[in-house]
Amino acid sequence: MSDVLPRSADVVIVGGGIVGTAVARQLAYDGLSTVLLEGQAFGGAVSGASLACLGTHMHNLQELDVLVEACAHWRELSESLGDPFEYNHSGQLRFIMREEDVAVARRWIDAERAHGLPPELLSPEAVREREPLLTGPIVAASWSPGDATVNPFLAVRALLADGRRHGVSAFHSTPVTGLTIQGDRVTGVQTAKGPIAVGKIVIAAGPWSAGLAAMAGVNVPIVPRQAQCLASVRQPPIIRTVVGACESAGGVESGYTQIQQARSGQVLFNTVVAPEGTTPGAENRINEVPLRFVRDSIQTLTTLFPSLADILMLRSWVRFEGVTPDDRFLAGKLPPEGLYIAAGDNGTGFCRAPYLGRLISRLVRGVAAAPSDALYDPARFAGVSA
Amino acid sequence: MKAALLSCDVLVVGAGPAGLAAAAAARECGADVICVDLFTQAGGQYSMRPVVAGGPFDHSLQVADGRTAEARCRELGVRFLFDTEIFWAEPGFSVFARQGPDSVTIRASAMVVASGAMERAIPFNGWTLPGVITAGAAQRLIKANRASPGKNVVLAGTGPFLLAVADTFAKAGKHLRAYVEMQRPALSLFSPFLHHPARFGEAVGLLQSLRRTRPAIHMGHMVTEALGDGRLEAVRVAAIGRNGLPEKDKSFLIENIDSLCIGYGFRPVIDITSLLHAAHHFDSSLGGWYCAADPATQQTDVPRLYAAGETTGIGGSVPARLSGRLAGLDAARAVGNTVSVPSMDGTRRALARARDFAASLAKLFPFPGHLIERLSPEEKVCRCEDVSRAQVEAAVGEGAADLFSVKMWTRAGMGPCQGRICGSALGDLVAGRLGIAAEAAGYNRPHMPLRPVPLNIAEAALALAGEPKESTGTPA
Amino acid sequence: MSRFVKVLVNGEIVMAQAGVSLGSVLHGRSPALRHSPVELQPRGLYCGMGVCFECLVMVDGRPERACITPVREGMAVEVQP
Repeated sequence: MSDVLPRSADVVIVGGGIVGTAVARQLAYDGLSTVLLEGQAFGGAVSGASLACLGTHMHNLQELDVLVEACAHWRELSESLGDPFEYNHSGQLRFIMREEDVAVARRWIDAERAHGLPPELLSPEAVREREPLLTGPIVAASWSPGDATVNPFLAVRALLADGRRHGVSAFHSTPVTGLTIQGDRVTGVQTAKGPIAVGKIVIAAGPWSAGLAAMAGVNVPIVPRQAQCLASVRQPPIIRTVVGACESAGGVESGYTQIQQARSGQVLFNTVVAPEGTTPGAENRINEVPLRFVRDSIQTLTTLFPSLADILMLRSWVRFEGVTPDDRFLAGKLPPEGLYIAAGDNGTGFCRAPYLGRLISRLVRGVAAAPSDALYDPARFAGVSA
Repeated sequence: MKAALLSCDVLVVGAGPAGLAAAAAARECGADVICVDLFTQAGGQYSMRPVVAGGPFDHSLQVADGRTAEARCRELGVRFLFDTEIFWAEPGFSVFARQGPDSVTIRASAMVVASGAMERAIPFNGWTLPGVITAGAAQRLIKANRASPGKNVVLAGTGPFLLAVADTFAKAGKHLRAYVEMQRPALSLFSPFLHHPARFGEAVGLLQSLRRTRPAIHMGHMVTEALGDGRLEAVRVAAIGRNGLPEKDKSFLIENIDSLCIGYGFRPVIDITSLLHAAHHFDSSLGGWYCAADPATQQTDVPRLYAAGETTGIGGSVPARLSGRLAGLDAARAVGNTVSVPSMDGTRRALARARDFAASLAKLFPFPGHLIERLSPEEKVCRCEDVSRAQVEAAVGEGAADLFSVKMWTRAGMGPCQGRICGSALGDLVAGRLGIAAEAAGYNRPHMPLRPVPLNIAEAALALAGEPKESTGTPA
Repeated sequence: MSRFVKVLVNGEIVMAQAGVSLGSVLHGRSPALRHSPVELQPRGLYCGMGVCFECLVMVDGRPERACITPVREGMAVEVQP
């Protein structure tokens, strides 16, 4: 990999996570000279710490078309690139612990079925046919057979490698220190390794995106939120599906759990326990996992899967999500002219990355928008209009 | 499973020479002391005790030292917890551990970390074959367990510890097929004794022991490859040229062997001090990253957190004991006991001298980190996850920016040893490819848990994080 | 006088001196204890001090590091020779 930045490009993408990598790859496929700048390590922050579930179940109903397209796109990527990122068509179970949440699950299932998707409600016995070790005290679970997982590290690596094959110039350890604006247009970026003259810049820096937009004098409503993950030592195959918490009457604010087994054999579990908001700037520090979270997570896992009580825990880590006020990405134009954003994963954004690549490419090239693109327009928030 | 909650004034981590000295010193001054160790008995690596009586080590000097130190601790009322592995610590201090099949949570006002050292491994071709063990493992097999690494043994690597292992073989009446040391014989090897003549007798004794094992002695040589089908059968040995690398045309096989015991020295175990945010520095002659401590008190830059022995840089048992004593005395003072200053001054002077001797010895046996460049592309760097050198280099070629990225993309360092075995070599390899200094390639920051721990034990220990006083019971 | 205990290794009775590490007993029997997870290469005791996990074997149904586990009367050990 060359260490010398090009002096100019058609587009510069700031942020080398899954979104930035997917955007860069798409732009290169669409013929633009594209530079991808990552401040630290590709996929090293939000993307690498995520559990990368691809699915349509219990997300925003308005986004169902997008999610269906994105899921299909991931499947195609896995096939066309030769399974480089452990695509696992596992299906997803959302467990229900309280009778009153069954009605919530039914509402989701009915709405998704009305859209032509196949989720269904399973009894505890039917759940155990799919997930034999899930013997904990659940009252039911929803089942979404189309959902899948990928290895988030390898997904970034594969999209990066494929993007580079198609002309993306990518640079790690290259933080952007400023945006150059002349009149009402962006004209360049400044980096720790020198400037690049460029008329189009895409901010894809997850929870750090607000800071970058501020360099252009734009306030975007993205704040960090802390989530945590645990991983076990490699186990024989014991968990087949993605096991998540049902969105209960309390919404995700009541806590979110996701449990799955990676192809490596590690059991992974992820919980958001501090949704009340994380101090701005926290994403810049290396945070330790709160003890209460580890204890609660183990309790959740072993309540659902009692036979896993004595497996070895290997590691825990903290990750940050970029949260927007309405749980949807900001993807589209920002003022000034030539500035774009694709950020605001809200903790479940991995799946949408290829769609956002196409969306940004449509905007950058000035071709007709797809009907769903408007869902993500940053202009939906007052004060953020292009 | 039981869950115990204990509290004390001073918690000492490690029951080797440094830990035992610290525990006794703190207790002498009146502090209430708990001392924990991973193994089932005290002694650490140096004073490792035979678990079966009646062998040649029962009355060795090292074992006697350890027994005396432990007996002194017991007489003073130090509480010992063995088979205890700490998996997390919080400032202030709360420590969470597995003790046998149970959990234990310990509150302490001060902590002395004397967690010792571990092998500083260099991956080489064939190093994963069964029968290839570390020099430290060989010593433990013979000394503690009265077992044998094998019938036909090659001892190889570099450094004074190899002689200590040869001494162990000699005392057990075992022979060595070959002794392979990277350094050439030279008068300079005796230079440390010019300023420390009292230590000369030790060295002579070790050399006599080596002769008693009747090995073929290959100085200025190294093992370049371990060979065998499913288990070790032979090693290739080569002379080392002027450039510090083995010379291909001056190599030969040693065949019909079943054990290679190999050691290139040790590195400090710093996971607890790192976790508690003490300052650490890098010095290859001290084993790489070590915990920085005030030489007058052994206190780290975190108040009431002390480090002693190998944790503060590899130096052997003498500085370990002395630094342990200083740490124990000052920790006792820090928690409100009276300590007489003269006793500390003498110890400080002796410690400075012992460190000086260790440093002069370390200079004679520099760590050959560059040997990682000799590893074949297909050979494993990370044993846990079967990650080869070629895979590591491919990741760097595709844009991995540091050790962390290499780990994400290859799983190197993601297995149960948590990168402890391969981390140092991996750092050298990645740094070499990126053209940066090894210490800049990334510092493996500790995460919960420090060591793999059963989920139920972790849960039980952590459940007592907020409990006010001591208890033992079954978790709800 | 040392006491002996009976250990079952893959169902076969092995006598060992009480208190010694399971790792020392297994290593003496055969240095290959398990297979590596990806390439299924034979592996055995390596660091001998609880760090490397290469001697991880199933003891009474649980994974244990043989090098830091003392033998106990009647313990059932599974190795992958």
